[in-house]
Order: sequence, then structure tokens, then C-alpha cells
Amino acid sequence: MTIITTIVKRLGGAIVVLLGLSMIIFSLMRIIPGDPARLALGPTAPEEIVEQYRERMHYNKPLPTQYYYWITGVLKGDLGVSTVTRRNVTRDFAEFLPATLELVIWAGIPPIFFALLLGVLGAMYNNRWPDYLIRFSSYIIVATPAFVWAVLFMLIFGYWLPILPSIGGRISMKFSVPSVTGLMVLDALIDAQPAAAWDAFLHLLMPSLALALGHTMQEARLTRSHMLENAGKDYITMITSQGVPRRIINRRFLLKPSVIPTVSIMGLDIASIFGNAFLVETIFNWPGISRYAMNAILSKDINAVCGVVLLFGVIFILTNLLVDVVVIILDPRMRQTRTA
Amino acid sequence: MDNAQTDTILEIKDLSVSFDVYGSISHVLDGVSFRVNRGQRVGLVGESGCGKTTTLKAILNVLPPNAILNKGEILFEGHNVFTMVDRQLAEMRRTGAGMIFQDPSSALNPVFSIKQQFMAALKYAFPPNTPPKELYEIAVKALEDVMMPDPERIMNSFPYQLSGGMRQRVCIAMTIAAGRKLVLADEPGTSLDVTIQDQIMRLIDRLVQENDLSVIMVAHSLGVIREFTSYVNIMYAGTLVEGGKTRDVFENPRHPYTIALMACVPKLTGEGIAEGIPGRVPDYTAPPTGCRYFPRCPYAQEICRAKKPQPVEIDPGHWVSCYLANEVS
Repeated sequence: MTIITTIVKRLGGAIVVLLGLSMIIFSLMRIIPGDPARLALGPTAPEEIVEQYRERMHYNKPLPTQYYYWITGVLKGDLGVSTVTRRNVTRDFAEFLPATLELVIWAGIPPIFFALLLGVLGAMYNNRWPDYLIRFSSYIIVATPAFVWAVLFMLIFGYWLPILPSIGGRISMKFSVPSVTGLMVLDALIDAQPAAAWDAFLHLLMPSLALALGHTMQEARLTRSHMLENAGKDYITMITSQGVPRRIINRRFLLKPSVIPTVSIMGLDIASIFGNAFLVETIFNWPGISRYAMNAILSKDINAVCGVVLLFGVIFILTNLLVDVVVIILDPRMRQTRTA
Repeated sequence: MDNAQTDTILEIKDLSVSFDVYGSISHVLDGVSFRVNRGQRVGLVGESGCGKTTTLKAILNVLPPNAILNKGEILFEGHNVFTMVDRQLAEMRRTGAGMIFQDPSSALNPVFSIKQQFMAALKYAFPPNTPPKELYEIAVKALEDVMMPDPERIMNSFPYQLSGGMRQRVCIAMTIAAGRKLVLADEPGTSLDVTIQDQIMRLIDRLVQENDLSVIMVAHSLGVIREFTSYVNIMYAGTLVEGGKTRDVFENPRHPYTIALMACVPKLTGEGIAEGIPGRVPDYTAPPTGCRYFPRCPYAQEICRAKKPQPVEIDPGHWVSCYLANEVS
């Protein structure tokens, strides 16, 4: 029951946040210098055509009116036409978002287990060589930006030891996979093409690893330090003094309270993954939404930028909601209803 | 009141424990020795930070990883807890001795229900083929024994849903349930308010009587010790300074520290606020040589600084570690 109340409350709050976000980004895109109609049509277009375009896009109306036209469209699922792709932004999303989602899923979810594993190992071997190794390497890994890893991997696994596809993209040209979910590996499996699925997986490895490294090691460090901190708590001494075996204590009574803080920051990590995805997508020639967003910003593609910002807002809110639900499941204290 | 000397359940011999605190060594316990007979209630009194809790944790061999055992042994029913194999140690913790912690709000795991914690503890204390239903009934029975109103509901609660007094009752139930023989009570009422503290002490008193348990009661409240114990050890800065039958020690304290401690108790007769003992517990990284109390002792002499005093029996069963034991009173 409390989980449902939390979800309902959060979604209610999310609507307010998204409305505010839409107003801010919409105004910003209009305030920054540069004539969007002229930018869209190019310097050689006659003024007359540009004026017509302005009329059609409502650029000559007052800002609140423009916003009204835009937001009513957005609520109907029409994000407006992109000045760069000349298509509806909604259609662009359908094309580019799945590629990024696939990347983010691979970079975000499997590494959670590695992060917890490394954190537990580091705590178990506290101040012995496995712990030193994990801590030392995490310093380097966290401090190195994702795009540096991307370039390094390209060099190592694509060029020196050519075991992974170095051209980038989502899948080799020889395969043709009909799009169902938009997630290449899954689609290939649905279409019963194991070779294509494997090929798509190999294409995913380097970019998702480059995106995953930083936050994984950060989470591992956090898990380790919480394990060590909690190991000294009275409740661990208490259950130890009750004669419960060490391994049960570590696996159950120490692990659970220690992973809760790690889980709660994972929602924030999603934002940094999307942010880093732009450079990684560029390096690996990955047709994703982050690259699309960056192109839109550079060419002042008003509708595309507003759409992308809203989309990232929605994704951020949903992932954090998911994280909060997991935290509520893990931590009973979060279920406490505040009463006066 | 006391059983025969031969029936000893616990004997601590010359226990010395240090802590490595970021590279500097704190010499906390220095030569602590005392024994607990079967069915006996032994008090351990001293200021905060004098090593009472460390002594209790040492008995269960649950000292933190930075603790260093310098010397000494703790014999539980004749077996040294520091040299026990894992199985023996686990057995001792499950059915031999159990500890009630000072702060019940930190002694229960916040993210597991009482049932999960209680059942885990019981599971290993009973034979492996005991059906969970039976364990559950044992737990419910134990909660009833500690006067918990609705045990089944308590079992399904999480610690944050219980009051401090209820949490402490749960901890007591967990300590008593598996049929342990020795209870180590680490100031079980200190973190609770006075009326609850009184209830908890009465509860422990009753359970100890009913189940014929041995107890080490740690407290800094002398009233509790006087009421509850038959034998008392006075601890100062990791050393025992005086010990004897509670009545003897209270009526005829002989160590300057014990005398000062007694003088600190506010009197209901209205003589104003007690004075307290000037100075403070020494720095354990460089404890005073000789008697650890000499920097604060009004009677200190040269020899107190030079050499650690050995316990002297001044009356039958009443001993004092002080060079002036026969002069001070």
C-alpha cells in the first residue's frame, strides 16, 4: 500500500516538475540569440519564405501563445517538426531512443552486480591486497572520463587485438534484423538469429563498458565503505554474539543495510550515464538519442531540444521512482508514514 | 547467597586488551581478573570508558577487529574462549552466554523484522532439524516472558516501530530464549527513561531468578548494583581496584576511588549536589605507570607512581588493589 501511495505521490510531483521543466526549456530556447526560422531555412532563402515559415511555426506570436501551441501538441504526443531532420521529433525519438536505451541498460544494470561484488570483496579483504587493488584501480577508473575509456578500448580491442568490431554502429552490415522492441540483441533473438544477436552484443560491449566503468567503481567504493562501517555496529556484534555463523551475518544481516545507500545513488548515476552517452555514441558511431540531442543543440533545433530535455526529464524521474521503490522494498524505515 | 567456590561458570584471568586506533595503541584493559559462580550476580561498576563493555565483549569473543589481546584468558566452564575452535565458540555463544546491549536502538538490525532476527538466532541455537514452527513458538513464548503485550504483532514489526523499552525487551527475550546460563547485561537501562529502566531491571531480576541464571551486571549506577548484585567489582581505567560482597564494599569501601565514587551519589537527604571526582579517566595511549588512579588520588604517594599495586585481601572475600588499603577508609 505504501509503495503505491509513494508512486502516486511521486507521479503527481513529476507532472509539476515536467511542466516547470517544459516552460524553462521552451523560454530558454526562444531567448537565446539567433532566428530559428532563418537557421532552419539557411542564409540563401528569400525573406518571404522565411516569413511564411515563421507564420507556420508561430514564431511571430507572443511567447505564451507559442508555448500553448507547443504544449498542447506535446500532450497529444506531437513534439513538433525538427528543423534538421525535417521530421516530427516524436518519430526521431522512436528511431534514436531505443539505441541509447539499449546502451544505458547494458551499462547500467549488469554492472550493479559487479559493483556489489567488488564492494563486498573489498570489505571482506579490508586492507589486504584484493582491497588495495580494488581501491587503487577505482581511483584511476573513476577519475578517467568515459570517452577516454571509449578511445582506449577502440585502440586496444578494435585495433591492437582486433577482437571487437572497431567500425562502431549497432550491428554488422551483413545482418538485417526487423525492429520489434528496438533493442538489437533482443530483436535478433526474437527473429531467431543467434549469430546476429551475438554480433550486436559484441558491438555493445565496448560502448557500454566505457559508460559503465566510472559509476560501477563508484558504487563499489560506496558499498565497501558502508559494509565496513556497518560491520562495527552494535546489531552486528549482537547477532554475532548470538552465535549466528559469520557467513550468514555477512551475506544477510550486513549486506542488506549496506547496499541501501548504494542503490539510492544509482538513480542519480543514470543521469551521468545519459550525459556521458553523447561522447561515447559519437566515438562508436552509435545512432542514439544523446548524439541526436547534441546535434539538435548545435543547430538550434528548437523542437528537438525541447523534446529531448523533456524526454530526459521523464527518464530521470522514472528511473529515480524505480530506485525509490526498490529502496522502500529493501528498507522498512522508508515505509514509515509520517504522522503528527 | 553465593554457591560454593568450586562451581565456577566464568573465570577471567589477567585479561589485558589494547586497541589499535589508527596506529596509536590504547592500552584499555590491564590485568582484569574475576570470577562468576553459577547462579551468582556479579556487578561491574566504573565510569564511562573504563572498559566495562570491552570486558563483556571479550567474554563472548566479539571484540572489534582492532582489538589486541595482550595476555590473559577467559574460561567459560573451563574452556578458554580465545582458543576455542569455531564450533565450540559458536556453541558457547548460542547456549552458554549472551549479552544485553546498552542501547537497544542500535542492537537490532533496522532493516530486518524482529521475526527474521529472532528466528536466525534461534535457528542456530537449536538442533538443525527443529521445525521453524517450533522455533517461532519458542520466540513468542520468550516475548511473553518479557511481558510483551502482543508477541505475534511484535514478531512482525521492525525495530523502528517499537519503543526503546520494547526493543530492550526484545533483546532480553533473544538473550534468554535459547536457555543461556550466563547473562552479560551492559547497562541495560541506561539509554531508557527512569521508569522504563526500573521495569527492565525488575524484569531481568525476575528472569534471572526464574531461570537460575548467572549474571554480570555492568552499571555506573550504584543504586542498581546495590539492589541487584551479591558481589561487585569496581573498575577504574581498565583495572579492577576493589571487589567483594556487595554489602561489604558498599558499607566499607577501602579503595580511594571506590570511596570517591560512593561520595558522588546524590543523597535524598538534601546535602546538595555531589562533588564528583576531580580529573578524568587517563589517556589510554599513555596510561599512568603504577596505579592508574594515582593522578586523581588525594592519597597518592611515590610508590603509587612506581609500581602497580597488587590486590590485598583486607577482610574475607573483600580485596583492594591499593598500597593504603589498611589506612584509608
